[in-house]
This record gives sequence, structure tokens and C-alpha cells, in this order.
Amino acid sequence: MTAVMEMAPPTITDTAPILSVSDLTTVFSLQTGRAVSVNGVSFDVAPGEILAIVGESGSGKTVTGLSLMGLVDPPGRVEKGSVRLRGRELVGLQEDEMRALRGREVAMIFQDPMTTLNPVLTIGRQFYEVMRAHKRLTWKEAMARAEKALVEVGMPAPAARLATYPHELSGGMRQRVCIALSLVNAPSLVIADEPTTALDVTIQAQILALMHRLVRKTGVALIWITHDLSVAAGFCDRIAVMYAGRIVEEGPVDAVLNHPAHPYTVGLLRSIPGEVPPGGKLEQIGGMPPSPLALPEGCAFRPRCFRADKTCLSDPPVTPIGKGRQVRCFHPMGAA
Amino acid sequence: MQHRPVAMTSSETAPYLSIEGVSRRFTRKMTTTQRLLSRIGADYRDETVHAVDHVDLQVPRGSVMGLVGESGCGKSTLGRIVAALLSPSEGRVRLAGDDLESLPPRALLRVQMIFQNPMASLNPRRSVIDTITEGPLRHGMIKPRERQSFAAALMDEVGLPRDALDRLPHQFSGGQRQRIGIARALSVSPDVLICDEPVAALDVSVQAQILNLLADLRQRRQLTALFISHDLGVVRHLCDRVAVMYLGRIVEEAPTETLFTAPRHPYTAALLAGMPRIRAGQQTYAPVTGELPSPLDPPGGCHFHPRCIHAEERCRTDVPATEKVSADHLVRCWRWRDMGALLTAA
Repeated sequence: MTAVMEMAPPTITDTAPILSVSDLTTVFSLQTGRAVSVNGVSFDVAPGEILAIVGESGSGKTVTGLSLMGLVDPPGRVEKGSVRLRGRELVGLQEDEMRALRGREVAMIFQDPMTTLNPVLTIGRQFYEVMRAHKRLTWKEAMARAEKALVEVGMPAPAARLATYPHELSGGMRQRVCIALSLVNAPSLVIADEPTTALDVTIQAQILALMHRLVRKTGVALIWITHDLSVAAGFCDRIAVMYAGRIVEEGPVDAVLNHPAHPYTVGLLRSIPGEVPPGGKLEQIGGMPPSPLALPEGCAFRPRCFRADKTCLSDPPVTPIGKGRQVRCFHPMGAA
Repeated sequence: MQHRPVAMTSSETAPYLSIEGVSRRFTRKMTTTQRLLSRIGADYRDETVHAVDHVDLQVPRGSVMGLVGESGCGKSTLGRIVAALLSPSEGRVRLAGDDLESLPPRALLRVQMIFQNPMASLNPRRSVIDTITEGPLRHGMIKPRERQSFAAALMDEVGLPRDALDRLPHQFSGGQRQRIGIARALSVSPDVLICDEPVAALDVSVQAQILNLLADLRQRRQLTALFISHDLGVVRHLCDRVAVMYLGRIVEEAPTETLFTAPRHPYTAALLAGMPRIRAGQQTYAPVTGELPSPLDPPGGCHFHPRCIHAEERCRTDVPATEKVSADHLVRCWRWRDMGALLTAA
């Protein structure tokens, strides 16, 4: 049995979501005003499922991830909404209760493994700390489990690696360590925030293949936060597109990318090089995303939208379209 | 690769920018203590990195050459050599037939560079107008009284509002800052642009704006460009030809479509396989194993052999020569003749 295989099997029925988020709203009270970073976000993640949260800088995707972990620091706070992890409400938990969950029930993988790992501790020591935070075990037991966890993530010479420091590893290897650390306590949910953005394409492909295998094998639920639609396309089961703090469109990845319903998703897809004939003009979404300090009235995408009209001055409701799909738009593209 | 004779006249067919056998080594010398210890048999040596290893590339006038490869493959070093920011340890770079090293400093203005991170490459305390008129004023290309109108015209050209001339870099968004970087490069009317990952730090919708701008400028100003990127989609969109670099060597070079549809080097094929695509649906990544080896101690023979599933004995011992698959498709692989079949089968 490897460390990763000891993970809690998805005992609850497969359809029951591990994580259920509804109307999550996170605001930052700044001197210049009140910035609404996450604005009424709702979604579910099932065991063994990969949900991509896709959006551009400032769309609120990272703050969404941090809000789930209870890691939003003042002046930010979760203003309202509910985050249920295997039925347990996380919003409003005391810090010590949250601490007991982090790293055990929910783990996070960040973009830059060099700032995630402690530079003055050996890899082995970092595994020991992560395990000791939640369970009494000896150094020897911890090292045995750490080694197995490193084997799972394809680390060459895992036993020897435990004695090394983060700076002795390459970027791809460091990210493998972070993945192994996040999974070592068998969490039911992992939140990964742009974990492959800093990596080269061949290493990114290795990490994607690895994560895909681990998710399917262990049944952990994975939230993959990224700005890269094409990574989400090849890797995730479902996709949620964020714009100005809202999920504007959500659904199975093939359906959303082949038949995007929200004009913003359409614009994003058309601006990707490689999707238009080489040398041709890339489509541009005019204007810039709004400041979270001054969101436009109604639909936040209205000022840049080619389909907007007067109705868009009021807030579009979440509208189901097709199986497992929803869109937040009065004038969705011909829904599939 | 054969050194093509370079015509001294800039005829249409002659390469405008010609990189000929360029190498660049960086050496870390032993400290005095290490030197003494090495005398008595300790294992210390000067450490040398071959960042760029005998690179030949020809870029015809008005065309864009893409340069792709992973971090540490030497693509940025090569860009800096072409921009005359670094001198080559061996070989030379010719611009319309003239050796870059022999040109007077003012002639080097013809090559300008656009950097990845505009926030780091713009002086945060200088207004836009100061940044984009410093070069032309210093070199007497414009008179001080023409400064305002010159700057305004340049702002129009790169799609920035004229009333932003007196603002500082931090008052702009990332995409706008990159436009300032482009305006600064254009301010001295170069005919060669070295673009080092100019869109890597931008969001996809902003990236589209900058790519469109670069495509327009290239047409309007007849620019010759070296476009360095790790993003194959961007390269495919913008470049006429693409060169793939691995540990300092160019391993394959071909017209863009040929490289993307019929690669002959297993490394190119691995890069293409690792490239995430929208339309492919759920991808099963079968990634190439291993990582870029340390350039301090590169593998012998073909540098790629430890990661190559097609490697055979001579790949470990002998460096493959550059061979022609067709008139404009060059590859550096012992087994390129087999690769057509092997790579399509994979």
C-alpha cells in the first residue's frame, strides 16, 4: 500500500459532491472602497472529478480558492455564502478548527513551489511536519510514508531526495514534491492554483499526466485554477469560466469549449493563437475587465459584449442550459 | 549546416540577418582556494556552460523566425547576442552582410529588443514620453522641438492614448506597458526586432491584442524579427519559420507549417505532443520522460538521447550533423529518415 492509496475512498455515494459551494462572496474593504473579488459563486465538485476554474488575472479565481481554504486575510473576508466539505460547513469555523482541516481534508498546491516549500528544511522534514500536524507518528514511519508518496509522483531516487533541500531540485521536481505533500494525508479535496504555469511544456505535460492518474486512482476531488483554457481542455472534466468575480458559464468541458454559450467564453476562445488560421487576425475582446472596486451595473461583461442590450442592465440570473450546464447571460449563444 | 555565402548586397533572397556558427560559453572560474586544492588533486575545475553551441540561422528580410525551446536551452542568450548585448565566443552575426561587431554603435540601433516583463524593462520613474524619445533625441534622429509630435505619432502607432504621454509605467495595465516597450523599440526606426517572450506574461485576451499589433507593425515597417517563445501556439500564429533549440543547439528548423505537421526530430515531436490544445478534447498526455539535463554536464552525442525513445548506440556517442530533409527543412538527428514513419505511428 502506498501512502497515496491509503486515501479515504469515496464512501459516500458517487453522486454526492465532496465540496458544495453556494453564493460565496468575498470582499476586500480597502481605503479606496469595497472591492468585490468573488461575487456569489456556486459550484459542486464530485469525488474523482477535476473542475477547472478558468479566468484572466483579477477575475477572482485565486481568491475563490483561498476563500475555500479559509485563507483570506483582512482586509478581505468571506461576506456570505456557504462552503460545505462532505456536508460540513466551513464558513464561520474557528481558525483552530480550520487548521485541523487544512492539509488533512483539503490541501492546496500553489504556482511557485519554491515559495511553497521551506528553503531551510529538507524535503523529508517538510513531509514530517505535514504529517505530524495531524497525526502522531515517528520519524521513521513518516519517512517510510514520504518515500512512498514520492514514488507515487514519479520522483527518481526518492529515498535520497528526502535528505535534500528544495534548491537542489529542478522546478518540475519541486512541483512533484508539492503534489506529494498535498496528497500525503489523503485529503478529499485538493485545490491547485496555476501549478504548471511556471513549468516548461514537456514538464507541464508530465505533471498533467501525473495528476490525472492520481485523481482517478484515489478519488480525490481536484479544483484546477488556471488562466490557460487549453490546459483545462485536455485535462479537466468540467469547467467554470470566471469573469469579474462571477462564474459566467459552467459545464462539461467538451460542451463548453465546443459550444460556448457566454459571449465572454466565445471571445476568450477566439483570442487563442492556434485556433485561427496562422497569420490571420486574432479576435480581440474590446476594452478591459472592470475594476472590482467599481463593477458595472447588471452584467459585468456588458460594456465589452457584442450582444448586450438594455436587458443586460439588470443582473442576469444563472440559467440552466442542457445537461449539467449553466450560463449567466440574458443572450447566450445558440445553446447546444 | 552549410554556411551559405552571404551576398554583400541586400538582394531579396539573401538573408538579412545571418547567424553564422555562433557559440557562447560562460565560465565560472575556480576560487583561489579551489585552485590550490585542485593542484593537490581535489576535484575542482573551471565550469563552462555552452549556452549557445555553433548556431547557424538565416532570416530573410521581412520574415519572422521563431525560436522555441525550454527554459535554459539558450534561446534568450542567442537573442541577446543578435541584439549585440552579448558578444559571441565564436562565430559572427551579420546584418545585411555586415558583421555586427564591426558596426559603429549607432548602426546597432537597427536591432532593437522587446522584453518579456515590461514592468522590469521600463524605468518606473520616467514618463512614457521620456522613455520613448530618449533614443531618438540622444542619436539626433529628431530635434527637441519635434519631441511632442514624434511621441504622439508613436503612441498612435502602438495604440496608446496620446494623453497618456506624461504618465509613469505603473499607471498602465500589463498590455499597455508592453505597448510602451514596443514603442520604445520602434522609436529609433529599427529594421530588426528581437522579441524575447513578449506575450508570456499577458492574459490571453491581451496577448491577442499585442500579437495583432506585432503583426501589423511587421507589415507596415517591413520588420525582420527573431521571435523567442516557449508557446508553440503563439509561434505558429506569427512566424514564417521556426527553429527548435535544445541545450544550445538548433535541432530542427523548418517552415512553420512543415514543423508543426511533419516534424523530423523526436524533441520537436515531444514539444508538440506536450502542447495543450483546445480542440483535441480529453488528451491523454504521453509525455517525454526526464528533464532538460544540466548544461554544465550535457550528455554526449546527441544531447537529447537520454530522453529519446528512438535513441540508438551512435546517438550516445556521436553528435549528429545537420542534414537537409528538403531544401528548407533542416534537422539534427541520426535517425531523421526513420522519424517520418516513427513519429506518425506514435
